Amino acid sequence: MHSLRDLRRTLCLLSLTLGPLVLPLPAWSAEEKFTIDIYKKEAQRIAIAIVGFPSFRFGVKNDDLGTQAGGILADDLKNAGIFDVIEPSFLPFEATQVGFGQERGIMPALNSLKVQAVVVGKLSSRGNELFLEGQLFEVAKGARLSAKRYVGDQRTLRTMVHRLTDEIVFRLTGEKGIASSRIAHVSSVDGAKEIYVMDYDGYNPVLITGNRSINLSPRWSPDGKKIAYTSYRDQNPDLFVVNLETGRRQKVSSSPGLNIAPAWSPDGEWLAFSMSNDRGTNLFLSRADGTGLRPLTLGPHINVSPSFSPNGRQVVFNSDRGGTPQIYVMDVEGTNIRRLTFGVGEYSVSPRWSPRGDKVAFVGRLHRSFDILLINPDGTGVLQLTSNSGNNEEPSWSPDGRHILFTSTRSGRRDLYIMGADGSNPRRLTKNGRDNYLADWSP
Amino acid sequence: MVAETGVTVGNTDPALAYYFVLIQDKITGNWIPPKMGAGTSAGVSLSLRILRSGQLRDLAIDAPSGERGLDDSALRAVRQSAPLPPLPPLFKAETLYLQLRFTLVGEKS
Repeated sequence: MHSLRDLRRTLCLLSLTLGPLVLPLPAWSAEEKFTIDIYKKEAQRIAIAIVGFPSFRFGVKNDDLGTQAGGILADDLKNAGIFDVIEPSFLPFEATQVGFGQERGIMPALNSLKVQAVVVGKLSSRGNELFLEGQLFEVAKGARLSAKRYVGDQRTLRTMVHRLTDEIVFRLTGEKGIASSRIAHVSSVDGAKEIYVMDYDGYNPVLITGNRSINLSPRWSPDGKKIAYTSYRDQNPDLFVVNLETGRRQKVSSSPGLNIAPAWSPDGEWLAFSMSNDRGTNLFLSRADGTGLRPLTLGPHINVSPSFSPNGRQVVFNSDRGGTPQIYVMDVEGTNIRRLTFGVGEYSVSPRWSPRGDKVAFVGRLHRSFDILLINPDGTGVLQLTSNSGNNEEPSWSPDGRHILFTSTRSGRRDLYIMGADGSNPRRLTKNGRDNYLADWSP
Repeated sequence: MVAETGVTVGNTDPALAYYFVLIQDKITGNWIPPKMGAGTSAGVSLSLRILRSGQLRDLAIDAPSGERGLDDSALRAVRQSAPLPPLPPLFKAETLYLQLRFTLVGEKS
Protein backbone atom coordinates (compact mmCIF):
# COMPACT_ATOMS: atom_id res chain seq x y z
CA MET A 1 0.00 0.00 0.00
CA HIS A 2 2.98 2.27 0.35
CA SER A 3 4.54 1.24 -2.89
CA LEU A 4 5.23 4.83 -3.87
CA ARG A 5 7.55 5.11 -0.91
CA ASP A 6 9.34 2.02 -1.90
CA LEU A 7 12.61 3.66 -2.81
CA ARG A 8 14.43 0.62 -3.78
CA ARG A 9 18.05 1.04 -4.42
CA THR A 10 20.19 -1.49 -6.08
CA LEU A 11 23.73 -2.23 -5.41
CA CYS A 12 24.67 -3.21 -8.87
CA LEU A 13 26.68 -6.17 -9.70
CA LEU A 14 29.21 -5.44 -12.37
CA SER A 15 30.73 -8.75 -13.06
CA LEU A 16 33.74 -8.70 -15.28
CA THR A 17 32.40 -11.57 -17.28
CA LEU A 18 28.66 -11.10 -17.21
CA GLY A 19 28.03 -7.39 -17.14
CA PRO A 20 25.35 -5.94 -14.90
CA LEU A 21 22.44 -8.14 -13.91
CA VAL A 22 19.39 -6.26 -12.77
CA LEU A 23 16.22 -8.09 -11.89
CA PRO A 24 12.86 -6.45 -11.25
CA LEU A 25 12.21 -6.36 -7.52
CA PRO A 26 8.87 -7.04 -5.85
CA ALA A 27 7.49 -3.84 -4.34
CA TRP A 28 5.42 -4.86 -1.38
CA SER A 29 7.22 -3.27 1.49
CA ALA A 30 6.72 0.02 3.20
CA GLU A 31 10.35 0.03 4.14
CA GLU A 32 13.12 1.10 1.92
CA LYS A 33 14.45 -2.09 0.44
CA PHE A 34 18.04 -2.48 -0.58
CA THR A 35 19.47 -5.16 -2.80
CA ILE A 36 22.85 -6.75 -2.69
CA ASP A 37 24.17 -9.19 -5.22
CA ILE A 38 26.18 -12.17 -4.11
CA TYR A 39 27.91 -13.62 -7.10
CA LYS A 40 30.12 -16.60 -7.67
CA LYS A 41 31.61 -18.12 -10.70
CA GLU A 42 32.85 -21.64 -10.42
CA ALA A 43 36.55 -22.02 -10.87
CA GLN A 44 37.31 -22.36 -14.49
CA ARG A 45 38.98 -25.65 -15.05
CA ILE A 46 41.89 -25.99 -17.41
CA ALA A 47 40.88 -27.84 -20.57
CA ILE A 48 43.68 -30.26 -21.34
CA ALA A 49 44.15 -32.89 -24.05
CA ILE A 50 46.41 -35.93 -24.00
CA VAL A 51 47.92 -37.09 -27.28
CA GLY A 52 50.55 -39.63 -28.19
CA PHE A 53 50.92 -42.78 -26.05
CA PRO A 54 50.25 -45.06 -29.03
CA SER A 55 49.86 -48.76 -28.46
CA PHE A 56 53.06 -50.04 -26.85
CA ARG A 57 53.79 -53.58 -25.77
CA PHE A 58 56.75 -54.33 -23.58
CA GLY A 59 58.89 -57.39 -24.30
CA VAL A 60 56.85 -60.58 -24.51
CA LYS A 61 54.07 -59.26 -22.24
CA ASN A 62 50.89 -58.58 -24.10
CA ASP A 63 49.75 -55.69 -21.91
CA ASP A 64 49.29 -52.50 -23.87
CA LEU A 65 51.38 -50.24 -21.66
CA GLY A 66 51.05 -47.22 -23.94
CA THR A 67 47.28 -47.20 -23.60
CA GLN A 68 47.63 -47.86 -19.86
CA ALA A 69 49.95 -44.89 -19.43
CA GLY A 70 47.53 -42.58 -21.24
CA GLY A 71 44.67 -43.88 -19.09
CA ILE A 72 46.58 -43.39 -15.82
CA LEU A 73 47.49 -39.84 -16.85
CA ALA A 74 43.87 -39.04 -17.73
CA ASP A 75 42.68 -40.41 -14.35
CA ASP A 76 45.38 -38.49 -12.48
CA LEU A 77 44.45 -35.23 -14.17
CA LYS A 78 40.75 -35.78 -13.42
CA ASN A 79 41.54 -36.62 -9.79
CA ALA A 80 43.44 -33.34 -9.42
CA GLY A 81 40.05 -31.62 -9.58
CA ILE A 82 41.24 -28.67 -11.68
CA PHE A 83 41.17 -30.08 -15.21
CA ASP A 84 38.66 -30.96 -17.86
CA VAL A 85 40.34 -33.79 -19.70
CA ILE A 86 39.24 -33.72 -23.32
CA GLU A 87 38.19 -37.13 -24.62
CA PRO A 88 40.31 -38.24 -27.62
CA SER A 89 37.12 -38.87 -29.60
CA PHE A 90 36.37 -35.11 -29.44
CA LEU A 91 39.59 -34.33 -31.25
CA PRO A 92 39.45 -33.91 -35.05
CA PHE A 93 42.61 -35.97 -35.51
CA GLU A 94 43.92 -39.34 -34.38
CA ALA A 95 45.38 -38.47 -30.97
CA THR A 96 47.65 -41.52 -30.78
CA GLN A 97 49.31 -40.63 -34.09
CA VAL A 98 50.79 -37.39 -32.76
CA GLY A 99 54.48 -37.59 -31.91
CA PHE A 100 57.09 -35.17 -30.64
CA GLY A 101 57.73 -32.40 -33.16
CA GLN A 102 54.28 -32.75 -34.70
CA GLU A 103 52.45 -30.75 -32.04
CA ARG A 104 52.52 -27.56 -34.07
CA GLY A 105 50.15 -29.11 -36.59
CA ILE A 106 47.42 -29.81 -34.03
CA MET A 107 47.48 -26.45 -32.23
CA PRO A 108 44.94 -24.69 -34.51
CA ALA A 109 42.43 -27.52 -34.05
CA LEU A 110 42.98 -27.56 -30.26
CA ASN A 111 42.70 -23.78 -30.14
CA SER A 112 39.37 -23.82 -31.94
CA LEU A 113 38.10 -26.37 -29.37
CA LYS A 114 39.24 -23.99 -26.60
CA VAL A 115 41.70 -26.58 -25.32
CA GLN A 116 44.24 -24.68 -23.22
CA ALA A 117 46.99 -27.23 -22.73
CA VAL A 118 48.11 -30.42 -24.38
CA VAL A 119 50.38 -33.22 -23.21
CA VAL A 120 52.30 -35.24 -25.77
CA GLY A 121 53.31 -38.57 -24.24
CA LYS A 122 55.57 -41.34 -25.42
CA LEU A 123 56.58 -44.67 -23.99
CA SER A 124 59.62 -46.62 -25.18
CA SER A 125 61.96 -49.31 -23.91
CA ARG A 126 65.52 -50.57 -23.95
CA GLY A 127 66.13 -53.94 -22.37
CA ASN A 128 64.10 -54.05 -19.19
CA GLU A 129 64.08 -50.29 -18.89
CA LEU A 130 60.97 -48.28 -19.66
CA PHE A 131 61.12 -44.63 -20.67
CA LEU A 132 58.23 -42.27 -20.22
CA GLU A 133 58.51 -38.92 -21.95
CA GLY A 134 56.02 -36.11 -21.58
CA GLN A 135 55.96 -32.65 -23.10
CA LEU A 136 53.48 -30.01 -22.02
CA PHE A 137 52.37 -27.21 -24.36
CA GLU A 138 50.28 -24.13 -23.85
CA VAL A 139 47.96 -24.21 -26.85
CA ALA A 140 47.27 -20.47 -27.35
CA LYS A 141 50.92 -19.54 -27.65
CA GLY A 142 52.16 -22.90 -28.88
CA ALA A 143 54.81 -22.65 -26.16
CA ARG A 144 56.43 -25.68 -24.61
CA LEU A 145 56.14 -25.42 -20.82
CA SER A 146 57.90 -28.61 -19.85
CA ALA A 147 59.70 -31.62 -21.24
CA LYS A 148 60.45 -34.50 -18.87
CA ARG A 149 61.74 -38.03 -19.18
CA TYR A 150 61.27 -40.71 -16.53
CA VAL A 151 63.13 -44.00 -16.42
CA GLY A 152 61.71 -47.09 -14.70
CA ASP A 153 60.37 -50.49 -15.52
CA GLN A 154 57.03 -52.15 -16.00
CA ARG A 155 56.34 -52.26 -12.24
CA THR A 156 56.94 -48.57 -11.78
CA LEU A 157 54.86 -47.36 -14.73
CA ARG A 158 52.13 -45.94 -12.48
CA THR A 159 54.69 -44.10 -10.36
CA MET A 160 56.32 -42.64 -13.47
CA VAL A 161 52.97 -41.38 -14.78
CA HIS A 162 52.10 -39.93 -11.34
CA ARG A 163 55.38 -37.99 -11.43
CA LEU A 164 54.55 -36.66 -14.89
CA THR A 165 51.09 -35.60 -13.63
CA ASP A 166 52.58 -33.66 -10.74
CA GLU A 167 54.98 -31.95 -13.14
CA ILE A 168 52.01 -30.90 -15.33
CA VAL A 169 50.01 -29.67 -12.31
CA PHE A 170 53.00 -27.69 -11.06
CA ARG A 171 53.71 -26.08 -14.44
CA LEU A 172 50.09 -25.06 -14.95
CA THR A 173 49.07 -24.06 -11.39
CA GLY A 174 52.28 -23.46 -9.45
CA GLU A 175 51.02 -25.90 -6.81
CA LYS A 176 52.46 -29.24 -5.80
CA GLY A 177 50.26 -32.02 -7.17
CA ILE A 178 48.92 -35.01 -5.22
CA ALA A 179 49.46 -37.80 -7.77
CA SER A 180 52.72 -38.95 -6.14
CA SER A 181 51.26 -38.82 -2.63
CA ARG A 182 50.41 -41.98 -0.74
CA ILE A 183 47.90 -43.19 1.79
CA ALA A 184 48.62 -45.17 4.94
CA HIS A 185 45.67 -47.07 6.39
CA VAL A 186 44.55 -50.11 8.35
CA SER A 187 43.10 -53.07 6.45
CA SER A 188 41.83 -56.45 7.54
CA VAL A 189 42.38 -57.88 4.06
CA ASP A 190 44.78 -60.50 5.47
CA GLY A 191 42.70 -61.30 8.55
CA ALA A 192 44.66 -59.31 11.13
CA LYS A 193 44.53 -55.51 11.34
CA GLU A 194 47.66 -54.48 9.50
CA ILE A 195 48.95 -51.15 8.26
CA TYR A 196 49.37 -50.73 4.51
CA VAL A 197 50.65 -47.91 2.32
CA MET A 198 49.14 -47.46 -1.14
CA ASP A 199 49.23 -44.90 -3.93
CA TYR A 200 46.80 -42.00 -3.61
CA ASP A 201 44.51 -43.69 -6.17
CA GLY A 202 44.27 -46.96 -4.23
CA TYR A 203 46.78 -48.95 -6.31
CA ASN A 204 49.92 -50.77 -5.14
CA PRO A 205 49.12 -51.54 -1.48
CA VAL A 206 52.29 -52.46 0.46
CA LEU A 207 52.21 -54.17 3.85
CA ILE A 208 54.00 -52.14 6.52
CA THR A 209 53.40 -54.08 9.74
CA GLY A 210 52.78 -57.80 9.17
CA ASN A 211 52.78 -58.84 12.84
CA ARG A 212 49.36 -60.58 12.70
CA SER A 213 48.20 -58.37 15.55
CA ILE A 214 46.16 -55.16 15.81
CA ASN A 215 47.80 -52.07 14.35
CA LEU A 216 46.08 -48.67 14.41
CA SER A 217 46.29 -44.94 13.62
CA PRO A 218 49.20 -44.65 11.18
CA ARG A 219 50.52 -41.08 10.84
CA TRP A 220 53.07 -39.90 8.25
CA SER A 221 56.01 -37.85 9.39
CA PRO A 222 56.15 -34.44 7.65
CA ASP A 223 59.05 -35.62 5.42
CA GLY A 224 57.07 -38.71 4.34
CA LYS A 225 59.87 -41.05 5.42
CA LYS A 226 58.42 -42.43 8.67
CA ILE A 227 55.09 -43.61 10.01
CA ALA A 228 54.06 -43.52 13.67
CA TYR A 229 51.38 -46.00 14.73
CA THR A 230 49.96 -47.93 17.64
CA SER A 231 50.43 -51.70 17.75
CA TYR A 232 49.28 -54.50 20.08
CA ARG A 233 52.25 -56.56 18.82
CA ASP A 234 53.52 -57.01 22.40
CA GLN A 235 50.00 -57.25 23.89
CA ASN A 236 49.92 -53.67 25.22
CA PRO A 237 48.91 -50.86 22.79
CA ASP A 238 52.38 -49.33 22.33
CA LEU A 239 53.52 -46.51 20.10
CA PHE A 240 55.99 -47.29 17.29
CA VAL A 241 57.77 -45.35 14.57
CA VAL A 242 58.87 -47.19 11.44
CA ASN A 243 61.36 -45.74 8.97
CA LEU A 244 60.07 -46.65 5.50
CA GLU A 245 63.49 -46.30 3.88
CA THR A 246 65.48 -48.48 6.28
CA GLY A 247 62.67 -50.65 7.67
CA ARG A 248 63.91 -49.84 11.17
CA ARG A 249 61.14 -50.00 13.75
CA GLN A 250 61.40 -48.23 17.10
CA LYS A 251 59.13 -48.50 20.12
CA VAL A 252 58.59 -44.91 21.21
CA SER A 253 56.19 -45.27 24.12
CA SER A 254 55.13 -48.39 25.99
CA SER A 255 53.76 -47.31 29.33
CA PRO A 256 51.21 -49.74 30.79
CA GLY A 257 47.82 -48.75 29.37
CA LEU A 258 47.14 -46.86 26.18
CA ASN A 259 49.85 -45.30 24.00
CA ILE A 260 47.69 -44.16 21.11
CA ALA A 261 46.71 -41.69 18.37
CA PRO A 262 50.03 -40.04 17.49
CA ALA A 263 50.44 -36.74 15.61
CA TRP A 264 53.69 -35.30 14.24
CA SER A 265 54.68 -31.70 14.80
CA PRO A 266 55.18 -29.89 11.46
CA ASP A 267 58.98 -29.86 11.98
CA GLY A 268 58.98 -33.65 12.46
CA GLU A 269 60.78 -33.33 15.80
CA TRP A 270 57.89 -34.11 18.14
CA LEU A 271 55.03 -36.54 18.58
CA ALA A 272 51.84 -35.73 20.46
CA PHE A 273 49.90 -38.78 21.62
CA SER A 274 47.73 -40.06 24.47
CA MET A 275 48.65 -42.22 27.44
CA SER A 276 46.22 -43.54 30.02
CA ASN A 277 46.47 -44.37 33.69
CA ASP A 278 43.89 -44.92 36.42
CA ARG A 279 43.24 -41.18 36.59
CA GLY A 280 42.48 -40.47 32.95
CA THR A 281 43.76 -40.42 29.38
CA ASN A 282 45.95 -37.42 28.71
CA LEU A 283 47.95 -35.90 25.89
CA PHE A 284 51.74 -35.93 26.01
CA LEU A 285 54.51 -34.57 23.86
CA SER A 286 57.80 -36.38 23.29
CA ARG A 287 60.62 -36.24 20.82
CA ALA A 288 60.13 -38.59 17.86
CA ASP A 289 62.48 -41.10 19.57
CA GLY A 290 60.41 -41.09 22.77
CA THR A 291 62.70 -38.91 24.87
CA GLY A 292 61.81 -35.60 26.49
CA LEU A 293 58.32 -36.70 27.51
CA ARG A 294 56.11 -34.00 28.98
CA PRO A 295 52.36 -33.68 29.61
CA LEU A 296 50.08 -31.42 27.57
CA THR A 297 46.86 -32.07 29.48
CA LEU A 298 46.24 -33.12 33.07
CA GLY A 299 43.14 -34.40 34.76
CA PRO A 300 40.60 -37.19 35.05
CA HIS A 301 39.15 -36.86 31.53
CA ILE A 302 39.80 -38.43 28.14
CA ASN A 303 42.01 -36.25 25.90
CA VAL A 304 42.85 -37.81 22.52
CA SER A 305 43.27 -37.30 18.74
CA PRO A 306 45.75 -34.41 18.56
CA SER A 307 46.48 -32.59 15.31
CA PHE A 308 48.97 -29.73 14.96
CA SER A 309 48.26 -26.42 13.26
CA PRO A 310 50.53 -26.01 10.19
CA ASN A 311 52.60 -23.38 12.03
CA GLY A 312 53.13 -25.82 14.90
CA ARG A 313 51.94 -23.36 17.55
CA GLN A 314 48.60 -24.96 18.38
CA VAL A 315 47.10 -28.42 18.78
CA VAL A 316 43.47 -29.30 18.13
CA PHE A 317 42.21 -32.34 20.06
CA ASN A 318 39.24 -34.19 21.41
CA SER A 319 38.19 -34.12 25.08
CA ASP A 320 35.19 -35.11 27.20
CA ARG A 321 36.07 -32.58 29.92
CA GLY A 322 32.77 -30.77 29.26
CA GLY A 323 30.64 -33.90 29.64
CA THR A 324 30.50 -35.05 26.01
CA PRO A 325 33.41 -35.47 23.58
CA GLN A 326 34.03 -32.13 21.88
CA ILE A 327 36.82 -30.45 19.90
CA TYR A 328 39.27 -28.19 21.77
CA VAL A 329 42.29 -26.11 20.80
CA MET A 330 45.32 -25.38 22.94
CA ASP A 331 48.72 -23.78 22.54
CA VAL A 332 51.50 -26.30 22.03
CA GLU A 333 52.66 -25.66 25.60
CA GLY A 334 49.35 -27.10 26.84
CA THR A 335 48.02 -23.68 27.84
CA ASN A 336 45.10 -21.54 26.68
CA ILE A 337 42.67 -24.44 26.18
CA ARG A 338 39.38 -23.42 24.58
CA ARG A 339 36.42 -25.33 23.20
CA LEU A 340 35.69 -25.12 19.46
CA THR A 341 32.49 -27.12 18.93
CA PHE A 342 29.20 -26.18 20.52
CA GLY A 343 25.86 -27.70 19.59
CA VAL A 344 27.13 -29.66 16.60
CA GLY A 345 25.14 -32.86 17.05
CA GLU A 346 25.60 -35.02 20.13
CA TYR A 347 29.36 -35.03 20.09
CA SER A 348 32.37 -34.22 17.93
CA VAL A 349 35.59 -36.21 17.47
CA SER A 350 38.64 -36.81 15.20
CA PRO A 351 39.77 -33.23 14.43
CA ARG A 352 42.38 -32.66 11.70
CA TRP A 353 43.85 -29.26 10.97
CA SER A 354 43.97 -28.41 7.24
CA PRO A 355 47.41 -27.97 5.61
CA ARG A 356 46.48 -24.37 4.74
CA GLY A 357 45.54 -23.75 8.36
CA ASP A 358 42.15 -22.22 7.59
CA LYS A 359 39.88 -25.15 8.55
CA VAL A 360 39.59 -28.05 10.96
CA ALA A 361 37.86 -31.17 9.63
CA PHE A 362 36.12 -33.30 12.26
CA VAL A 363 33.42 -35.92 12.78
CA GLY A 364 30.08 -35.03 14.33
CA ARG A 365 27.46 -37.47 15.52
CA LEU A 366 24.30 -36.09 13.90
CA HIS A 367 20.91 -37.79 13.81
CA ARG A 368 22.30 -41.24 14.67
CA SER A 369 24.99 -41.16 12.00
CA PHE A 370 28.54 -39.85 11.88
CA ASP A 371 29.36 -37.20 9.33
CA ILE A 372 32.37 -35.11 8.30
CA LEU A 373 32.20 -31.38 9.00
CA LEU A 374 34.48 -28.37 8.77
CA ILE A 375 34.89 -25.58 11.30
CA ASN A 376 37.08 -22.48 11.33
CA PRO A 377 39.83 -22.54 13.97
CA ASP A 378 37.99 -19.72 15.78
CA GLY A 379 34.88 -21.88 16.19
CA THR A 380 32.78 -20.21 13.49
CA GLY A 381 31.56 -21.44 10.12
CA VAL A 382 30.48 -25.03 10.74
CA LEU A 383 29.86 -26.75 7.42
CA GLN A 384 28.59 -30.29 6.94
CA LEU A 385 30.30 -32.14 4.07
CA THR A 386 28.63 -35.60 4.13
CA SER A 387 25.03 -36.62 4.77
CA ASN A 388 22.64 -39.55 4.22
CA SER A 389 25.45 -41.92 3.31
CA GLY A 390 26.21 -44.28 6.20
CA ASN A 391 28.79 -43.35 8.80
CA ASN A 392 31.59 -41.06 7.61
CA GLU A 393 34.61 -40.80 9.89
CA GLU A 394 38.35 -40.23 10.28
CA PRO A 395 38.97 -37.30 7.90
CA SER A 396 42.49 -36.68 6.59
CA TRP A 397 43.51 -33.81 4.29
CA SER A 398 45.32 -34.13 0.96
CA PRO A 399 48.70 -32.37 1.02
CA ASP A 400 47.30 -29.56 -1.16
CA GLY A 401 44.22 -29.10 1.06
CA ARG A 402 41.86 -29.55 -1.91
CA HIS A 403 40.61 -33.03 -0.95
CA ILE A 404 39.59 -35.00 2.14
CA LEU A 405 40.19 -38.72 2.61
CA PHE A 406 37.74 -40.48 4.94
CA THR A 407 36.20 -43.80 5.97
CA SER A 408 32.59 -44.48 5.03
CA THR A 409 30.14 -47.37 5.47
CA ARG A 410 27.95 -46.12 2.61
CA SER A 411 28.59 -49.32 0.64
CA GLY A 412 28.34 -51.67 3.64
CA ARG A 413 31.81 -52.34 4.98
CA ARG A 414 34.23 -49.64 6.03
CA ASP A 415 36.01 -48.36 2.94
CA LEU A 416 38.16 -45.37 2.07
CA TYR A 417 36.79 -42.51 0.00
CA ILE A 418 38.11 -39.18 -1.28
CA MET A 419 35.96 -36.08 -1.77
CA GLY A 420 36.62 -32.44 -2.59
CA ALA A 421 37.23 -30.28 0.48
CA ASP A 422 33.78 -28.80 -0.20
CA GLY A 423 32.15 -32.25 -0.02
CA SER A 424 31.93 -32.63 -3.81
CA ASN A 425 32.53 -35.72 -5.97
CA PRO A 426 33.11 -38.50 -3.41
CA ARG A 427 34.80 -41.54 -4.94
CA ARG A 428 35.66 -44.90 -3.49
CA LEU A 429 39.30 -45.99 -3.20
CA THR A 430 39.26 -49.47 -1.64
CA LYS A 431 37.26 -52.43 -2.92
CA ASN A 432 38.93 -55.52 -1.46
CA GLY A 433 35.84 -56.81 0.35
CA ARG A 434 37.35 -56.25 3.81
CA ASP A 435 37.43 -53.32 6.22
CA ASN A 436 39.73 -50.45 5.24
CA TYR A 437 39.89 -47.51 7.62
CA LEU A 438 41.95 -45.16 9.83
CA ALA A 439 43.68 -43.62 6.84
CA ASP A 440 46.29 -40.87 6.75
CA TRP A 441 47.29 -38.97 3.59
CA SER A 442 51.03 -38.49 3.15
CA PRO A 443 52.60 -35.03 2.84
CA MET B 1 36.77 -25.04 -5.79
CA VAL B 2 35.31 -21.60 -6.15
CA ALA B 3 38.08 -19.35 -7.31
CA GLU B 4 36.51 -16.18 -8.51
CA THR B 5 34.03 -13.85 -6.89
CA GLY B 6 32.86 -10.59 -8.28
CA VAL B 7 31.35 -7.71 -6.36
CA THR B 8 31.37 -4.09 -7.37
CA VAL B 9 29.55 -1.42 -5.45
CA GLY B 10 27.41 0.81 -7.64
CA ASN B 11 25.79 4.09 -6.73
CA THR B 12 24.31 3.96 -3.27
CA ASP B 13 24.00 5.99 -0.11
CA PRO B 14 27.57 6.59 1.13
CA ALA B 15 26.40 5.86 4.66
CA LEU B 16 25.57 2.36 3.56
CA ALA B 17 28.04 1.66 0.78
CA TYR B 18 30.82 0.48 3.04
CA TYR B 19 28.38 -1.48 5.18
CA PHE B 20 27.09 -3.31 2.11
CA VAL B 21 30.60 -4.24 1.07
CA LEU B 22 31.16 -5.75 4.52
CA ILE B 23 27.98 -7.78 4.17
CA GLN B 24 28.84 -8.89 0.67
CA ASP B 25 32.29 -9.99 1.74
CA LYS B 26 31.05 -11.92 4.74
CA ILE B 27 28.21 -13.72 2.99
CA THR B 28 30.21 -14.41 -0.17
CA GLY B 29 32.94 -15.92 1.97
CA ASN B 30 30.46 -18.24 3.64
CA TRP B 31 28.74 -19.30 0.46
CA ILE B 32 29.68 -22.73 -0.83
CA PRO B 33 27.31 -23.36 -3.72
CA PRO B 34 26.69 -26.77 -5.30
CA LYS B 35 28.18 -27.76 -8.63
CA MET B 36 26.54 -26.33 -11.72
CA GLY B 37 26.30 -27.55 -15.29
CA ALA B 38 28.86 -26.12 -17.68
CA GLY B 39 28.03 -22.66 -18.92
CA THR B 40 24.71 -22.44 -17.04
CA SER B 41 23.72 -19.98 -14.38
CA ALA B 42 21.05 -19.84 -11.70
CA GLY B 43 19.96 -17.39 -9.06
CA VAL B 44 17.98 -17.34 -5.85
CA SER B 45 16.67 -14.27 -4.10
CA LEU B 46 16.36 -14.03 -0.30
CA SER B 47 15.02 -11.28 1.89
CA LEU B 48 15.80 -10.50 5.50
CA ARG B 49 15.86 -7.71 8.04
CA ILE B 50 19.00 -6.66 9.87
CA LEU B 51 18.49 -5.22 13.36
CA ARG B 52 20.66 -2.38 14.60
CA SER B 53 22.74 -4.95 16.51
CA GLY B 54 23.42 -6.91 13.33
CA GLN B 55 21.07 -9.74 14.31
CA LEU B 56 18.94 -11.21 11.52
CA ARG B 57 15.15 -11.50 11.34
CA ASP B 58 12.60 -12.75 8.79
CA LEU B 59 15.03 -14.64 6.57
CA ALA B 60 12.99 -16.06 3.70
CA ILE B 61 13.28 -17.11 0.08
CA ASP B 62 11.68 -14.51 -2.23
CA ALA B 63 12.34 -16.25 -5.52
CA PRO B 64 13.66 -19.81 -5.47
CA SER B 65 16.11 -20.92 -8.14
CA GLY B 66 14.43 -24.23 -8.84
CA GLU B 67 17.56 -25.91 -7.50
CA ARG B 68 16.98 -26.98 -3.92
CA GLY B 69 20.71 -27.35 -3.28
CA LEU B 70 21.40 -23.81 -4.45
CA ASP B 71 18.57 -22.36 -2.34
CA ASP B 72 19.81 -24.23 0.73
CA SER B 73 23.39 -23.13 0.15
CA ALA B 74 22.27 -19.48 0.03
CA LEU B 75 20.25 -19.80 3.25
CA ARG B 76 23.20 -21.51 4.91
CA ALA B 77 25.57 -18.76 3.82
CA VAL B 78 23.34 -16.10 5.40
CA ARG B 79 22.80 -18.02 8.64
CA GLN B 80 26.52 -18.64 8.98
CA SER B 81 27.18 -14.94 8.51
CA ALA B 82 24.99 -13.98 11.48
CA PRO B 83 25.37 -11.73 13.30
CA LEU B 84 26.26 -9.23 10.60
CA PRO B 85 28.11 -6.05 11.54
CA PRO B 86 25.91 -3.55 13.48
CA LEU B 87 24.10 -1.00 11.31
CA PRO B 88 26.15 2.13 10.64
CA PRO B 89 25.24 5.12 12.89
CA LEU B 90 24.40 7.34 9.92
CA PHE B 91 21.65 4.96 8.91
CA LYS B 92 18.80 6.09 11.15
CA ALA B 93 16.11 3.40 10.78
CA GLU B 94 15.97 0.62 13.38
CA THR B 95 16.02 -2.18 10.83
CA LEU B 96 17.43 -2.54 7.36
CA TYR B 97 15.32 -4.46 4.88
CA LEU B 98 17.50 -6.27 2.45
CA GLN B 99 17.19 -8.43 -0.58
CA LEU B 100 20.11 -10.72 -1.41
CA ARG B 101 20.36 -12.01 -4.95
CA PHE B 102 22.64 -15.00 -5.21
CA THR B 103 23.88 -15.80 -8.69
CA LEU B 104 25.99 -18.81 -9.53
CA VAL B 105 27.62 -19.26 -12.91
CA GLY B 106 28.70 -22.77 -13.83
CA GLU B 107 32.13 -23.44 -15.16
CA LYS B 108 32.76 -23.37 -18.87
CA SER B 109 34.43 -26.33 -20.42
